Amino acid sequence: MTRKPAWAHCSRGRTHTHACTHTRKDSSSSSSSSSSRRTAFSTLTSSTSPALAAWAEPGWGERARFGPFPSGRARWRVTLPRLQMGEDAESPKINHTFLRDYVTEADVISTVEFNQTGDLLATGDKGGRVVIFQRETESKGESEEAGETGDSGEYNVYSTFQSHEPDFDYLKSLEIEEKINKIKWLPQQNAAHFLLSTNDKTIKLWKVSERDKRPEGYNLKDEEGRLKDISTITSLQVPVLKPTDLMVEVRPRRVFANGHTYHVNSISVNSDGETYLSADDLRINMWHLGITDRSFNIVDIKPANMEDLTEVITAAEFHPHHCHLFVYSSSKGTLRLCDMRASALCDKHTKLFEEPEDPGSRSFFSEIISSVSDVKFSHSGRYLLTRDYLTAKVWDLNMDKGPVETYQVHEYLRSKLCSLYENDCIFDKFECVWNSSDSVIMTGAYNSFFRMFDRETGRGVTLEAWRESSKPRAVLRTRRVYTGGKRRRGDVGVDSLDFTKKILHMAWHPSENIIAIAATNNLYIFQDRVNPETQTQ
Amino acid sequence: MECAFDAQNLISISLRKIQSSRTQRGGIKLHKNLLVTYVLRNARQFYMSKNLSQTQRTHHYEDVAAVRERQEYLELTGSFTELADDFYCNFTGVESDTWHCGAHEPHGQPAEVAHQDASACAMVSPNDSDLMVSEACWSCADKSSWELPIPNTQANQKTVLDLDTHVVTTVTNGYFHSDCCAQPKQPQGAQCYAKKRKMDTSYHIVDPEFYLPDFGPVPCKRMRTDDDSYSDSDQLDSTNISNLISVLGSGGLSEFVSWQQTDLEQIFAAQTICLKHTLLTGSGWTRAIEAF
Repeated sequence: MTRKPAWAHCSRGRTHTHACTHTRKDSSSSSSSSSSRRTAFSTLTSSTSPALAAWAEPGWGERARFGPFPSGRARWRVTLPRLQMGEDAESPKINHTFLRDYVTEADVISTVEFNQTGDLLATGDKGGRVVIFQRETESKGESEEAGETGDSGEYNVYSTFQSHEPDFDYLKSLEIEEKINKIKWLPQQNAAHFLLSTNDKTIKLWKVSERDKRPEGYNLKDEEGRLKDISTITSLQVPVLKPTDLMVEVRPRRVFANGHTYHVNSISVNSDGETYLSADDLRINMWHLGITDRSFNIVDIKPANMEDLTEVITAAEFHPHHCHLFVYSSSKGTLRLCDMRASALCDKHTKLFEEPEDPGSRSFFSEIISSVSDVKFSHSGRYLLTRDYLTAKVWDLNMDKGPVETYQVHEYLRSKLCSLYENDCIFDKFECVWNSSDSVIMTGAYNSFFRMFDRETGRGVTLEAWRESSKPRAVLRTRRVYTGGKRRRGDVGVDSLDFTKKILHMAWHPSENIIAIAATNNLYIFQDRVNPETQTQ
Repeated sequence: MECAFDAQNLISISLRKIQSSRTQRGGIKLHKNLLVTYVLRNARQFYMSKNLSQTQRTHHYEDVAAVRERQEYLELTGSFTELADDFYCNFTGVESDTWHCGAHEPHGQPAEVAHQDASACAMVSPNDSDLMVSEACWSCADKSSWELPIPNTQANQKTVLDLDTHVVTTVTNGYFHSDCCAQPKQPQGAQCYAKKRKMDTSYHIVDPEFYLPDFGPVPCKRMRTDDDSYSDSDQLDSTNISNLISVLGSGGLSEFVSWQQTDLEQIFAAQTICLKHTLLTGSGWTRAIEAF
């Protein structure tokens, strides 16, 4: 049942299971490999550092709110020592600095997603692995029945499995990367959890279930599975279910293959709970979760002659409440809202959201920086959040002439576009997220910085996801990129930004102020300690 | 806007990006390559607008210089194998006995041939008849808004492979043309690439665009057109970017990288010179992505 790949025992403490069980609690009957797994995890999850009393410096000399929270200052704290893939935490004596800085390509996190309750957090990486974290409940034992979840905000590894393997398309002689492009959770309907994960070509539905009982007392086999000697059996017994250590099983339930010619960039589960869409560069397909051999093509922007190609689809999402509406963004910076009731093939949009281009700011790279890299509906379903290379924009569904809000994420890069083009950074696709009350938007930048913007005040704050400043329970300092004027202590110059440290993927808890930031191969989880619960407005 | 030097720099950087993307793991990223061609287009537009005034003055000088460079370059590469010859021949449009899809003849203005449908395509202008009829799909000249108004008197052909249907079609491009006779042209178009395909596999670098599932290696010599006579400089005029890119995508260029790095530089140097010439003469060229 469990096939351990050769690298499961690698000395760097990486852990993988092949779509099977992952033992969470200590068990005396575990094999050596599982014990090494557990030790690595326990080191990671221990937060033994004392709480630091560092106060967040506004950075800009402003007091008061960083925005998101109506009452007082928000202080983002680290709640979990970062999970770093590939770090051997068991040999502190060995100088691991060079190992730490060397990032295996396969360990780079490529997507982060909370489930609908926020209890589970799934991450996918370039090696095709999915790691699921579960929120630790502080209350144990009796109070568990009360259904209380603790305030800890700590997330521990729940399960790890290999979702996709490298594949090869023999027809086109193309290698298909195993990198997980997107993970989306399904709404929970029973005790098990379901998630969709996709690479460039194939979408898979995984079932994550717990098992804490197992049958014991078989007649023909003993507890280890060996056949009993029949002469020793004197009576028949009925196997009974006995409680056992909690085991998390992950099994593939559906494989949705061969639906896409181009690279899949988005998946989105419909609010009807039965269908989902998958979008590649030129087409969007709608699938039924129970049917794998058929899908409906609902958008096709491929021109008859590929020479006439002018734009591609970059992201797509279903409306959170209306199961007939979805939106897709294009590389030209436009958004199209489509209503599936209008026609079977939604090539003709219901609404086109486009901002007229400013002719004064035209450059060689105008097309590249206007390409939308991510689009997200607000939780209310009224607004759209888009990210292009330099800005984040909020659009009102009722107004298609232009965005209602525009936030400059890193405008200081506008003069550096030529060199960013040379080193390919200009093609980076940043994601953007809403908070649970749609009052704050967040997106990533370079140098391990990420930015939050408060929609009410329009102010933005820059925070950093970096191990040196992220001791557990430490409060995040706000950072600033120096672009002129009075230089403050701690300001970072534009030329000293590290463009290899980019924050592309992130997620915000659906109901609380907990955020998960993926920084290359590290995952940071921050929680607002001042206002852990989002206050509804 | 950056100065003209940056435009040239950008063009060569973009070409390298396109070329390297063809060997990247995971297949060609359509989005990224589309954006790169936008940069190419913008740089070219800027370059053209800047050099337009100088065109008449320096035209013939460039012509001679480029031709000389090209010929020298051809001599340099005489030691390469057949695959190399293919590449260079195609690049210059000269002596193309295996890659005649890229070969073209300076013929009448396709811009004036306003065909709109397949049937009209069959009735091409008389001077087109000696072209490879199988691939001569002169379709309407539907100029894009950003095309230069300078008329291009030479036609050029490109072959594109549709990744969905695996149909190989050829398009003519003095301006943007839409290929309206895709289906029936498949056999001939396919065969013309068969030889290329055969050579590619021997190097274990198979360019996805030229994969043809149903056709084995067929010598293309018999598909060769009759009139291979053309003037050198005229050929160079119509060697547009797309031809350049399609050749880059043949997989042959990657071989050069492995053989000798310095030759790669020469290749790009020569390309830049010819590119400059091409830009200056204002020959139309289409976007670099033709085989996605």
